Amino acid sequence: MKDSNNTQIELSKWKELLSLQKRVGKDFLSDDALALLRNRLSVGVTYFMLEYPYVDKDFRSTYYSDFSKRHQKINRNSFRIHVFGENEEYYGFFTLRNTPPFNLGRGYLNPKALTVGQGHFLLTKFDAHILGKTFSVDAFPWMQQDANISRCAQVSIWAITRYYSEKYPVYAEHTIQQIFDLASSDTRKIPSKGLTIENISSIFSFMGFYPEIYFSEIVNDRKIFNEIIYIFIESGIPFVAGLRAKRHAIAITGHLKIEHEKDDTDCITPVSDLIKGYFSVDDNFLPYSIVGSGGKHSICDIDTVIVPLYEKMYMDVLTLLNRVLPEIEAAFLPHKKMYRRVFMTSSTSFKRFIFENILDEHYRSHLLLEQMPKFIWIVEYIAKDDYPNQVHSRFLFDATALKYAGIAMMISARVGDLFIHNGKSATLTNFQEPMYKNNLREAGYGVDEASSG
Amino acid sequence: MEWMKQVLDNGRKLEMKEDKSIKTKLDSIDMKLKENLQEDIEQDRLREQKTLELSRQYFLG
Repeated sequence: MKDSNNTQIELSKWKELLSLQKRVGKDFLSDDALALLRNRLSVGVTYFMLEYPYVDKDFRSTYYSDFSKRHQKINRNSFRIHVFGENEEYYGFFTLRNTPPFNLGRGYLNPKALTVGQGHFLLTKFDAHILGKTFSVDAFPWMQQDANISRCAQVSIWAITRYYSEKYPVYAEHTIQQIFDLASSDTRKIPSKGLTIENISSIFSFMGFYPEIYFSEIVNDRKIFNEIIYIFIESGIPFVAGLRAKRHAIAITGHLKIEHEKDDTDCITPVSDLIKGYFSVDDNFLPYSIVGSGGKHSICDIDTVIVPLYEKMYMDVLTLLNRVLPEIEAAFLPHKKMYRRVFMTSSTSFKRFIFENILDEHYRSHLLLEQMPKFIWIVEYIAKDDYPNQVHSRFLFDATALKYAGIAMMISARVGDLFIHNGKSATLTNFQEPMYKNNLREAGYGVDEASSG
Repeated sequence: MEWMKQVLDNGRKLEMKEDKSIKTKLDSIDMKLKENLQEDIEQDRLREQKTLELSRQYFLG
């Protein structure tokens, strides 16, 4: 094995995985890891570019903290495997570390590199540098657990926080070892036993988030709990999902394309009822594995949601769903053949949407000039006959509102052609509005589909 | 910056009128949201307590 005293970087091109395994050896690509790759890599992948030695910051962090202390020699260097598709399109990379059988280290792979169902993904841009040239990829971070320092819970936190630190400068980057160190334990920490749900939430807090926890038995209504899962994804907020019966944690990072079927039921149906599955970062499978339709876990397996919120997202989603919306719907939506979409967004993004999509000039300008809080809850109602073309009614709520503030938390609303604000109303001449889709697109969703949401 | 001038001008042109039926509906919602305030506070406290207890019981990983 060439090592650090080698002055030349090895770069070689490989067409198929078996030859790659022969080159790196089973200590770096075990049969298990190879099988994972072979099962999921897309037919669109044309070749791999091997880079060695590669200093993977996440593996090095655990190496210096733990693996270097072991009797058996563990190589501190990693292999980095770049993945290319048709016309040399860059699909991202993954690393191979000397921790068999869990060799697959940090990976930033675009969904195009894998066999993935159609849908909406939370992705952000990562850069990779090869011989002075920069390649960019839209991806959600992923890695396998190493079973000593990182388990599924640490990997889920790492994936979510790496997504945030890459996307928003306000969040600092943390390596997997730093995340491991943030958890407290009354017993020895290595080999890691995973994390309690309280640990997961505390780690998010240490990292500058304001997490909230939802348990299905406390929400006490599976339909509402499923809607909560959808709401955070539609809001562009990835979260840790606990599958307590399996003692497993994953990160939820997107949802499958909505397959809309004709629905004549005379009731308000949450859009979450139309979603058959979610994309996840599950360290047991390659990224974007499905929870639900055809996946290894069902949506009902998710019984815990640990969501890392931003400070000013105060208003609780349960207050909105259980207390406010039933009253709003009873008062303003007597005809109930509607779908309901609930999500949070920044007022900046919402105003951008308003600027580009509202046709009534006076109404549009009124909304653009309105002072709004940093984050707002939006509730859209779409007539079942019109789905997904236009929004019948849209209500805006102040996400920074005081708890128990009553109707003061509502900023404004449009119900059909009637615009409502501060107890006053105006009739609009043109109230055709599409569904708001900016959250997913804004968050850099490369494989987002424009036609559904 | 013609577009900005247009937004500023148009923003003042939306004719907002006092609307008694809307005001009644909003007042009624406000009343309903506040009529069980103590019950809501109790319920939230209980939920927070149970969440804290459960969050310590399960290891994931």
